Amino acid sequence: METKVDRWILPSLSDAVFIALFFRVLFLGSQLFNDPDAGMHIRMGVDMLSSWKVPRVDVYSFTSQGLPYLDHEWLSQAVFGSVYAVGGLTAVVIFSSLIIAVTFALLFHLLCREGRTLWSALGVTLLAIAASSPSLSARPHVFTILLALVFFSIVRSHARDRSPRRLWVLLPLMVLWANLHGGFVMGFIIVGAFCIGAGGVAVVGKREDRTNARAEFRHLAAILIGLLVAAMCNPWGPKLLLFPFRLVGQDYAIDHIQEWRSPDFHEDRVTELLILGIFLIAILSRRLPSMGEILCILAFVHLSLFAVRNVPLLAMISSFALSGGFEDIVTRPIFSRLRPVGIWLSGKSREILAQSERARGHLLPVVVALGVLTSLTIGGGRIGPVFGPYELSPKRYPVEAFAFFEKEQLADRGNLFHAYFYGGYWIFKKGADARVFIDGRQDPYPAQVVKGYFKISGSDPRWREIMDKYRIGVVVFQTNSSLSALLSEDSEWALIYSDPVASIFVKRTPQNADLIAKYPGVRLAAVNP
Amino acid sequence: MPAAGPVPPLARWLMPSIEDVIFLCMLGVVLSQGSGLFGDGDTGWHIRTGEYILQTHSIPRQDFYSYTVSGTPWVAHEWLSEVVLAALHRYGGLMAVGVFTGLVISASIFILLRYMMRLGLNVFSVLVTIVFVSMVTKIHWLARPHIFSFFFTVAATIALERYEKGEIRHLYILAPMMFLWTNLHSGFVIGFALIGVYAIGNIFRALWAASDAIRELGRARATHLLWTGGLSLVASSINPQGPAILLFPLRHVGMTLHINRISEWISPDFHNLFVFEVLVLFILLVLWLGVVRINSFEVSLLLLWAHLSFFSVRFVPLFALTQAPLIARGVDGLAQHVRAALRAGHPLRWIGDRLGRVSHDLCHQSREFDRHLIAIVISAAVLIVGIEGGALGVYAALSIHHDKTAFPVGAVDFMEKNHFEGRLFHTDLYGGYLIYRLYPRVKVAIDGRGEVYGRTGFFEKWLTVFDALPGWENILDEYHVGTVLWPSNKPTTALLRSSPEWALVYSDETASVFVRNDAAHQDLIRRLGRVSYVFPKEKGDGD
Repeated sequence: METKVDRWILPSLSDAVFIALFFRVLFLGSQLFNDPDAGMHIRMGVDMLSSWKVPRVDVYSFTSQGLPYLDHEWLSQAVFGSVYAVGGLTAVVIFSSLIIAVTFALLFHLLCREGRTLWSALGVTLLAIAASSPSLSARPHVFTILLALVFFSIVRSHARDRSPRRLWVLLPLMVLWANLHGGFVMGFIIVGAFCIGAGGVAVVGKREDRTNARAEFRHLAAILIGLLVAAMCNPWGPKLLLFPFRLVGQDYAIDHIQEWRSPDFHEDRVTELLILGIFLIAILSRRLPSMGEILCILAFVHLSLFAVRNVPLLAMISSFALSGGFEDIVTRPIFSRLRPVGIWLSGKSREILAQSERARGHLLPVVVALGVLTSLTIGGGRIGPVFGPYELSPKRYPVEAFAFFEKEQLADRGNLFHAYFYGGYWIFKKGADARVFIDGRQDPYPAQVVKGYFKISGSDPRWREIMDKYRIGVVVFQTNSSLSALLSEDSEWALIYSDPVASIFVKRTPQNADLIAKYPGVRLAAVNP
Repeated sequence: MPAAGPVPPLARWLMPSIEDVIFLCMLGVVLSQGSGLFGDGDTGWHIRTGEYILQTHSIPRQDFYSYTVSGTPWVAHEWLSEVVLAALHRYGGLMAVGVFTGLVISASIFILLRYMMRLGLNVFSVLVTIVFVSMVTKIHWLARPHIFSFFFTVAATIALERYEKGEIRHLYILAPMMFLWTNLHSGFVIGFALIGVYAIGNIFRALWAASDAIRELGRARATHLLWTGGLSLVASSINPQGPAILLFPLRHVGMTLHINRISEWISPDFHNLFVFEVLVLFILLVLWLGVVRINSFEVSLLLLWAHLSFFSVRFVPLFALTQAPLIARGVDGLAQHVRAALRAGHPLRWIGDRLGRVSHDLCHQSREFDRHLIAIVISAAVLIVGIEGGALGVYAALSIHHDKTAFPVGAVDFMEKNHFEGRLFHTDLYGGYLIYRLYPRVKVAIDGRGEVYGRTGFFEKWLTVFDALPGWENILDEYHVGTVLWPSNKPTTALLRSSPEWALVYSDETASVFVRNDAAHQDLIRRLGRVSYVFPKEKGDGD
C-alpha cells in the first residue's frame, strides 16, 4: 500500500531524467567552459555586481573602448557573476548543470504528459540531448534553450485548446528572456509561425476550421503586440528590438565565427539524423501537426541549417512532432508483425508512467541538488571524489602564456592582438584591465575591427598595415596557426614564449630590446596534431 | 486551344516545342557563364590525359604528371570523358570543350523537363521548378567529367521510375548505360545505388505486401532488377581497371582528410546556398501538408539524396535534379489546393484557370511537335561555332577561356618566358592548369587527383604548406622545391614574403612567384630583379 510519504519520496521519471542528466553534465564539468565567452560573461557579471551598474559603454577592449555597448545579456551575466561569487567555477558548473537538466527533464515531462509512450519520450529526449550537446555550455544561451521550449509548449497548447488565458504567461516570460539573452527573438519566431499558420488556415484551410483559426490568429496577433511591449522592458528600451537585425547584418562575422556556421555533417551526424527524422515523419506519419507547428519546425530547420548554434532549439521544437510521428509510423500495417511486441511495450510504458504519475513530491531532485551544494561547501570546489575541481582547461586556454604575460608585464609593451577565443579568457582574468582586441561579444565591435581581426589571424596580405593601424605591440596566438608561423619568420617580430597551446610575440622596437634579449632563440613549440 | 486537324508532317519537324525552347534557353544560359565553365583546375589534366590516350592508344596506369608521387599507381578511370574532351580540344580548343559542356548540361535538363511534362504536370509548375533546379545545379556547371553524371543520374532515375510504372523496356538501357557511365565518370556508383533502392523495395514488396498479386509483382520486378544489377556489374567491369573499379568509390570515401578538406566534398554552406535550402524546405512543407504523396521508392531516394547532399556539396546539384519531379508536383499540388480554396471569380483563381488552359495547349503542342529538329540544328550550329574557336567568320560569337582572376595566367606566361626550371610548388587548383599549360616540360606538386595524393600521404604534407602552419618550410625542403607559385591573397604568400629564404620575382593580383634565395638561384634572382608585391583587390575592403 502506497502512503503519502512514499509519493513524496519516490522519484518520478522526470525526476530520474533530471538527476541522471544533472550528474552527467557535472561529470563533463570543465567542458561547459569550452565556449570562449563563458569567462567573459562571468567577469562582466562580477563587475556589474560590484558597481551595481549595467554597462553602457565597452570597457574591456581597446578597439571599441568607450563606444556604446548594448549588453543584451546583462541579467544572465549578473546571475552567472553572483553564482561565481558564491562558489567559484564549481558553482557555475552546478548552476549550468541545473538549468540544462531542468530543460531536458521538462521536455521529457511534457512529452509524457501529452500521452507519448515512455519509449518514444525517452528516445526523443535522448536525441535532443545528443543534438544539443556540442552547444551546451555555461553561458546565457542555455536560458534561450529552456525558454524556447517553454514558449513553444505554451503556444502549441493554445493551438490545441484555444484557451487564450495561458498565452498571457508569455508576457512576463518575454520580459525575463529579453534581459537574459539576445535569443529572445526566437520567442517572436515561435509565436509568429503559429500566427501565420492560423492566418493561412483562416484563408485557405478547410471551411470548418476557418472560424477557429481566425480566433487563434487574433489571439496570437494580440500576444505578438504584447510581446513587443514586453521585450522593451529592458535597460535599453526599444533599441534592444533592433539588436538581432544588427547582429544578422554583420555578414563578415556571421560567415567566420564557428557557432554561426552551417553544421558540418561530416562530424555532426546527430543533427543530420534529426533533420532526416523530420523528413521521415513528414512523409510517413498520418498524425498531422497544426499548420503553425509545421511552419515553426520549418523555421527552425532553416535556422539550424544556417547556424549550428540553433540546432538545440530545433531539437526542442521538433521533439513533439517527432515522438508523435514515430509512434504513428510504428502502428502502420508494415510493422504488423511487431504488434505483439508493441502491445507489450505500450502496456509496460503505461504501467511505469502511471507509477511515475503518483510521485508528486520531487523531493529526490531537491535533495540531490542540496547535497551537491553542501558537498561543494565542505569540499573546497570539489564535489565528492568524482566531480571537480572545475577550471578553464589549460589544454584549450593560454593559461601558461597568460602567466608569462603577467610576469613580464607585457600589457605595457603595446596593444594586444590575440586569438578570438582568448579574448574571453583575458577578460575573465583581468576584467576592465584586459584591453582585448576582440572577444565573443559581437555587438560592441565595429565591422572593421571584426574584419581586421580575421585578416590578421588569416595572414591576409594587408596584415601588417592593420597591425600598425591598431598599434599592436604584443601578439598571443595559438602556436599551431598560420599567424604564429608568419610572425616567427617576420623580421619585425620576435618570439619570446611558446608552449604547445599558445605563443607570444613582441614587436622588435628599441623599447622591447631588453625583453627580446632576455629570451633569445625561442622557437615555436612542437604541437601534437 | 489544340490545333484543329492533324498536324502536317513538315510542321512536326520544323515547329519547336516548349521543351526545345527551354533547352535552347538553357544552352544560352550555360554558355553565358563563359570562363566560369573552367573554374575548376581539373579540366586541364583531363584534357592532357585524353591527349595522351589518343596519342599512345593506351590508358595511363601510373602517375606521370607529378614529381611528388611520380610512379604511384593511378589508372585514368574516366578515360572516355578525357578522350572526348581531348578530341574536342584538338579541334576547337577550350571553346569546343565549353560548348560541349553546355550541351550536356542542357540535355540533362531537357530529358528531365520532358519527363515532367509527360507526367501531365502544369507547364508553369514545371518551368518554376526548372528555374530553381538550374539555379542549384549552377554551382557545378564546370567542364569536367561529372557533367556526364548529371545526365546519367537523371536518365537512370527516369528509366527506373518508368519501369516501376510498367514500361519494362526502360530497364534494358540500364546495363549499356552503366558501361558508358563507368568509363566516363566515377559517379557511376549512383546508378548502382538507384538500381539497389528499387530492387530492395521490390524484395520488401515480394515478402511483405498485403495481397498475393502485389507480392507476385514484387517478385517479378525484384528478379528483373537483380538481373539488371548483375548485368550492370558485368558491364561496369569492362573498363581499364576491371572489377576493381567497383571499389573505387569506397576507397575514396575512406580518405577522411581528403573528404574533410577538399571544397567539393565538404558539407554545404547554407549561408551561400539559399536556393538549395528553399528546395529542401519546400519539399518538407508539401510532404507534411500531404499536397504530394510519394511511394516507398521515392521516400528512399529522397532520404538517400538528402543524406548525400548534406554530407557533401558535390551532391547538391544531383539532389535538385533527382527531386525535380517531386518539387514540380508540389508546386502543382499547392497551386491547385489554393485555387480550390478561393471563391469562384477571385482574380487569383481566374489567373490560375487561364494558366491551366495555356499549359494544356503547350503540352498538346509539345506532343505534336516532337521531332526537335530546330533544337538539333541550333545545337549543331553552336557546336560548330565552338569548334571554329567561337567565331562566326570574322565575328567573335563566343568567348570561353581560363579566367585570369582565378588562374595564374600571367604568372605562367612569365615563367614560360623566363624558362623556369626545377621543382615548382603550388595549390591543387593551379595543378590542373599547370598540367594544361606546361606538361610535359614541368611536373607538378599536386593537382585534383585526390586519390593519388591522399593515398601516398603527400596531401597531408601539402596541407601544412597550404594552411601556412609551422613546419611548412620543412616540406618545401624535403621536396627540394626551388619555385613557389601561390595565390597572392593566401596566408602562405604572406609567409613567403616575410621569410628571408624566399625572393619574390613576380606578382600580380592573382598569383605570385617566389624562388629560393640560395646560391643556386642567385643568377635567376639577379636577372629577374626583385619585384614589389601586388596587393589583390578586394571588394568592400576598408582596411
